[in-house]
Amino acid sequence: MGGELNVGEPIIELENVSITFTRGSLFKRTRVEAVVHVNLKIHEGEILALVGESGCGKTTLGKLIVGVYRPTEGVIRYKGQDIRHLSRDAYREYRRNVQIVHQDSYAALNPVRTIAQSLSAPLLRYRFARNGHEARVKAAELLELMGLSPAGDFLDKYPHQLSGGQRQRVVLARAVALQPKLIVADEPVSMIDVSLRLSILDLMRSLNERFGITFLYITHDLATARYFVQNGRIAVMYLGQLVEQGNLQRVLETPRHPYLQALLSAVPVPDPKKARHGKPLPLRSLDLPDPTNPPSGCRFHPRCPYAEEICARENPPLHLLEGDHYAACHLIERIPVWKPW
Amino acid sequence: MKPLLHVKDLVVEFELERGTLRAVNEASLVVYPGEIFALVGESGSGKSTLAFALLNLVPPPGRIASGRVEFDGQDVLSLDGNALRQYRWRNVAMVFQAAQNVMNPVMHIADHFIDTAADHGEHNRDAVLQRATELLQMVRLEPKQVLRAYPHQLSGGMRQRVVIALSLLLNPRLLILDEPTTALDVVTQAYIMDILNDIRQKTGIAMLLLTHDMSVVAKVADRVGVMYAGRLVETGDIYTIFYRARHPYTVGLLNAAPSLVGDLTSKRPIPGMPPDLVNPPPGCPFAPRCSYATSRCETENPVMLRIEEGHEVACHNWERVHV
Repeated sequence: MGGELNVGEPIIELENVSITFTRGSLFKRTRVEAVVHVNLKIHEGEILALVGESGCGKTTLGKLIVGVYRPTEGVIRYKGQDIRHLSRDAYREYRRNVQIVHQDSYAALNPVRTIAQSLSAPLLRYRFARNGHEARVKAAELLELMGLSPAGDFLDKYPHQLSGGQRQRVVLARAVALQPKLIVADEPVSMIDVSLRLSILDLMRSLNERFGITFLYITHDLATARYFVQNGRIAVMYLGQLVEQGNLQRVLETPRHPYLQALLSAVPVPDPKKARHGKPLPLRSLDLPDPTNPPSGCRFHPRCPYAEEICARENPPLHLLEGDHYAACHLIERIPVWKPW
Repeated sequence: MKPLLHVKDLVVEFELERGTLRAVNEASLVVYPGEIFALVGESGSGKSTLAFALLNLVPPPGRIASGRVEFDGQDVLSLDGNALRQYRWRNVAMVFQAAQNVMNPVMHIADHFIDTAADHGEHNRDAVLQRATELLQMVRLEPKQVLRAYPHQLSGGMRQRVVIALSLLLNPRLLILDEPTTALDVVTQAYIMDILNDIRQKTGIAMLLLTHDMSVVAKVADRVGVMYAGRLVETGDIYTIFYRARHPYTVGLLNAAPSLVGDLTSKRPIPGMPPDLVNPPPGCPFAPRCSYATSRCETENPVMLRIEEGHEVACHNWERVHV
């Protein structure tokens, strides 16, 4: 379930979106192109994973989607409308409907406010509750919905009195309080203990199934993406660009971009027999290039074991392979189809 | 084979305002020469505290309350002064968590090697640099460039490899690695695990690997100890732990580890949360989260039981538990 079967109209569309950060002094400025010409649609009701290593721009892309950053180039549309041209009220609606959940739940909550206070503030601001009493009742309902039961045990606690998993549930409750259409979840489980990670992902899946909330799951962890997304889509990012996207099962079974092939071959699996016989795809260089001075042509070419002369010269566009599976590689027809296990 | 490291009934306690927290509780384990022993546990399980205790480095208000640590038959906890100094780094070296960030930012990499050697009485600069060159090659770095660099000029993965090389400078016989790949990218992680395997093969050094990640364990460990709430709850060789585990927590961890291979329907979280170690439950610490628990588990804490050669489990119901 989730993903393909009950997917609706695009809720967010990125058209040719780029963002460049400049820093340094007047005399020595460095420019980082964090996101480069990204085209992506997020459909209502779907679960989409945005996967990449640290520094690839995935968090920046998430912040562009929720309106924290403005693109230096390109257009972001919310329900078909350019977010730069939304009326005041429509912009407010967009910001309410597109929520973000961060990795660090402790930093996300005000340490001197109780859980009830943290949940009441947005409920009152957006008039989902008329007064403090009503907000508290609603906050309790939300906590129960998030599996924090009985809610009375949590309402008057402070963030430091909860475990990491409980705090992340509170952060999700606060996002859900505004009845959003899309939640951008940026590494929501990477700071949570292994035994509890799946329970947070299960909770998000139930929010998708029960309320139709769309999820953009931003992560470096392909294994949790596989668990959470199931039959939904994955988009893989490398140095600011999308290099492969499509149905997650199809993409993980037949990865076509050499970067994704290398990434998949490096992911350890919790099975010693398979883990010891997997064949890693050897990269020409281990480390990411300097993002202030990205490689010419295909940004992956200095590390790519298959790179040819054209790769250093031209940046490959995303080719449609089959169904909704796209990959950006000049040599896509020639490089070996690769099976990790 | 004679054990290299033997930990017996180790107890480490922290005196807190609200009471005594037993971070390590009657933990026993053995590491043999040349093996990679993985100590697996989640945050708060006591694995890092146990590692600090092996070096007699438990930070206050913590203290080793009882138990014994033997290295090559020698009582470690009674060492002091120069003998303790010799033991640390020459016998047992440790790569701490986030070690890629521990280097001095204003010192060249070469000076890190020279300083460390001088601290342990080795002042021949050329000999030290020669040794550093060999070690950097072993972790697959370009020694000439790296020795001249400052830490910030290297990537996180390169710094982690420098720290591993540095830890090997005095030829220790046991290397403790606390979450050595956790903050690194997947491709770098795989590379570092490959290097660790390589080092073990070339030098015959033993490694104690602390991690929360069953996938990392699957890749490199020979034997595994699983820790929960300060206790060792199961030990066995790698295949025993992954395919024939008999402790419900080990089985739960395996089921909770997301994977790129295999069936997703068998994956599920472990319900509940780890206990408060200041007020632990009276019986088995895992009982409140355990689907096998009986009334006996709520009152009587199970001891480690050898159920087959090289396989120990602390569970009253191990016969009913299967992967």
